Amino acid sequence: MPVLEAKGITYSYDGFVTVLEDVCFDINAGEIVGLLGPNGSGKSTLIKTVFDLLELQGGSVRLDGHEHSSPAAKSAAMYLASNDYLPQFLTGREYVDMLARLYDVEADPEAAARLFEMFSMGGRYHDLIEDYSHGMRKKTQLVSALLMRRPLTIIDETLNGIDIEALHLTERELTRLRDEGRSVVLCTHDFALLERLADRVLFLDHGLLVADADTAVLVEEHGSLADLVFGHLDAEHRRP
Amino acid sequence: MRTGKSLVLARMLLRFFLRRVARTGVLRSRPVKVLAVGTVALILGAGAVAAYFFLEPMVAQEKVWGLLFEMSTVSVVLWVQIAFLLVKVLFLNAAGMLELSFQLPLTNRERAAALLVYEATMAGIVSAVGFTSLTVAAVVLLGPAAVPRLLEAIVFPIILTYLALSVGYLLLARVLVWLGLRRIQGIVLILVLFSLLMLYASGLGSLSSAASAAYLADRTDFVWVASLAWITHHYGPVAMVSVFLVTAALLTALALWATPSQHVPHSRYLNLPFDWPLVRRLSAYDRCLLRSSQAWLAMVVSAAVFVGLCLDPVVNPLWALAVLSMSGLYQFAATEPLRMLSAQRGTAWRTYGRLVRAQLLLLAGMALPCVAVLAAARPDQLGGSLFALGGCVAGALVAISIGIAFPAEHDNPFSVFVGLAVASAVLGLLGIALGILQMPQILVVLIVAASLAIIVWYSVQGIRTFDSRRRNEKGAATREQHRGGSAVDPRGRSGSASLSHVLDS
Repeated sequence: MPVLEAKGITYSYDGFVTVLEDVCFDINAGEIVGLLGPNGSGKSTLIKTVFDLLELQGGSVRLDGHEHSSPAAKSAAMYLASNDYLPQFLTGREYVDMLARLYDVEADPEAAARLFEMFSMGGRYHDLIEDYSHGMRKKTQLVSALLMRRPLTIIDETLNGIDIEALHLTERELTRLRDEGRSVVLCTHDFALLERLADRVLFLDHGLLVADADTAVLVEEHGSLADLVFGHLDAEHRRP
Repeated sequence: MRTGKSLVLARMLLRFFLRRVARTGVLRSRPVKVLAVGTVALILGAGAVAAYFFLEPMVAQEKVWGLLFEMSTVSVVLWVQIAFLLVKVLFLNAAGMLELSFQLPLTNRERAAALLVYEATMAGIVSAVGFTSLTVAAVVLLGPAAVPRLLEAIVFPIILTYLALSVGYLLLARVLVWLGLRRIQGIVLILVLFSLLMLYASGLGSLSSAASAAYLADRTDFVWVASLAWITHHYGPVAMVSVFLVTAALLTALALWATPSQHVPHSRYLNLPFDWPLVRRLSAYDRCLLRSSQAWLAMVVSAAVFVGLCLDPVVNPLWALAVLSMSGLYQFAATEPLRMLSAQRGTAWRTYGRLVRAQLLLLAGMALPCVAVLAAARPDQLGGSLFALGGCVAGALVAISIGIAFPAEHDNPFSVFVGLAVASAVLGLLGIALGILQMPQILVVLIVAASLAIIVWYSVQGIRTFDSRRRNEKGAATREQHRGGSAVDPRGRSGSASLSHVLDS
């Protein structure tokens, strides 16, 4: 059973301009899937509909076999938003503890402190998030996901803005999640990262899913993910 | 629905209130906090003392107390409706704050249920404040014997009215969604609540007459609003408490069941085309206000109040436009990004002028058609229009000042609520003082004008302080950190690669 089943997702913000049109895909257990697309292609809208933050206007979404608005579905997946809008009035530890209570998992303070240390945030676990820099907030999101270890983690451009060392570490940790049979959806413009990490790539443009294939196959066909994307964007049929 | 998860979010919002709202704007200063609490306490204390001396001569008159409690119940229902409406308007504008919970694994119903806790608390505070004077005076004068009667006449009716309104509100919200009116349901619900309030207010006289006539004639007629007193009279206090408990439990269960799976609205601004030649001259501050959903909500409510006052002109209908000033509460926080732009930099007076200009434009935009309608439909009400419009301008200045002193970061309703409470206490104190001193009218006008001048000056000072903090953000943040070190881990950070930029001094 796929950990995420999206069937015919359709969404429009004002009833006239369609942002997503009949988007269908599955995410299987133990795979890392890249989500690509230019700005305004519908990536963030797609993620928000998956998490029921936007009302589904057509189609269906199931998370770990549960209807996406159900409590069971909420427990199955974790969303790391593209912004760094975290509760600044909590300390890193309080934030992690709160997530643990919501996910009904045991938050190991030592493991959390160790991850903070690994991500160059040693000694900051008990500080208010308000005092964290932009990069640290993003790293706090990543650390939380690594602690919660949900069947599905969707990362919406969270990796943009973190330093190289943290990025390297994240790649290693995400691979470990995959090895444990968990899935990750990685929404990013970093083609090289996806070529290294993603098993499969979904390419979204103008609300349509234009590609859903194994990364290796796409790289073999187009030379690289960058060539796939730029080739599509420059194509005659896409120009206004 | 997992109520435990809702409580986790409710606890997070409590921390938001304690750590952000209670430490921003003027509330950063401890003396101001003490002064604010002192002012509220003084107002409540003065009310209780006044009620005590007013009621003392009647202490032995059982019948008068009975009538007083019954009349209180009639007012309680109106008061709770006002509190409910206020709280719903505040929370309808709270989409920005809700984004905080986007990354949390909660269903939309669980998110809504967490907010209901705060809505109920705020409405409870507003409702309770209105009856503090009577409650304290009754307990002091009648002793513990007053407690059951206060429960029956004030506390239980507050709870039941709130729950009944909540259930009605939530069920109607479901019906509107079912009818495909999800996008405008917020405004429709506010208008329905307002209509209900007007309907009850219009029947207040007859309800009071029915209650007092029955008491004076020693009858125990059934007046629906005082049902609990009627049950006590006929079946005893145990039956009344049982009925209350069962009804409250049923209504709570119904409210939890009816809490809709409502998605957080994603637009704070309306995409109005400001392309016409005249409108093109609008500044970014003007556009921020005129496009904000808060301003449009205020316009709709203001129009409804205007129509209500035209039909039943208890005051000049143009006073309805005072509701527009509600949008001023959010204006300063909403325009913060504009002040970050180097090209927009200017003096604090200039910033204040921009804020006021936008409010005046909004007021003028509504006043013109309203005056025209008034002249056509109720020309008898045109007298006093200038005074009413002047009052609305004063209201806008006060609202902007509250917005600066208690900036509504991410449109959170807590800052607005605290700001309104403190402003109401200060203005209430001023009103009581003016009422007690009974000064000549010209002196009252001068005092009001001086108060407005102080409000304007204070607003400008507030903007100046914010500007200065922003320019010295690095240093200010470091000082904050050292001062508030005990709240978080103060361990040495110097030289650590993990230090945030604000600490690298």
